[in-house]
Amino acid sequence: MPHRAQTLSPTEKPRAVLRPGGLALTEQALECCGLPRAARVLDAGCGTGAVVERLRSLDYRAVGIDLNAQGRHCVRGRIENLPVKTAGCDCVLCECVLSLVPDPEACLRELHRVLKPSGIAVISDVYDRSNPDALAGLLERCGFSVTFRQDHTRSLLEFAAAAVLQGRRADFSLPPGISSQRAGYCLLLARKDTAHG
Amino acid sequence: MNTDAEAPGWLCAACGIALERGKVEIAYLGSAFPVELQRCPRCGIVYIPEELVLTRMAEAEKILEDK
Repeated sequence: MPHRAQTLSPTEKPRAVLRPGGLALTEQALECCGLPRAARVLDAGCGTGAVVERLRSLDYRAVGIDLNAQGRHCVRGRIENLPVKTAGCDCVLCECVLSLVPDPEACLRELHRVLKPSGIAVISDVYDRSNPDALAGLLERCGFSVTFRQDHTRSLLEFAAAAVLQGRRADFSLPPGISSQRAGYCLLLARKDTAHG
Repeated sequence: MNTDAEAPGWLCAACGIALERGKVEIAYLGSAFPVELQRCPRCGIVYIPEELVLTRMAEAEKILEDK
């Protein structure tokens, strides 16, 4: 079936991307991935569906999954048990999700399952700056090779400061075990290691 | 951010007209944030309530300083 670009109509308000770095960080990550147009992209933890909408406007075949999914092309489901066929995705996005789920390793193994061989996982999340290799280590244990790593702690600080200034403190909380002094934010790209299965 | 209750009826000293609530940009350490505050519709001067300075703004500055 031919894929058609979808754009927001003038009356349609773009939905907010409530996480450090916002949509700009996602777009930067996708540029680094160098995916072809029409690549199959899964946004695991899509929230409002804003990223899915944006990706579809760029001609990616994007769908989203979230416990509280909203928006077109988004369905409700758990990341630990994705309703997606094995090895069907060129890229999975998992942004500001792993730090919020009870079992991040189970999520990563499921993302690994749905990726095509050599498919790419885009992970952005809070990390503990006193243990900066933990997230990369977890990815490698789950069958990924980390190919790109970039610190975005400034985005986290700006996100937190904006939440405080605008009286939206409830939009910002750190994962248990990470103090505000040690919390950082990072972007990781990881390729599915085919030898791992 | 509702500052109306904190600054009822303020007049701009220079222009003599009532401040109105509007979106302004606060910048600190290279980061800028849109917030709603009382401002003069003519000259643009902004009233920042002391309570806001001592609470949310102080906290936001501390966050941005990453201390």
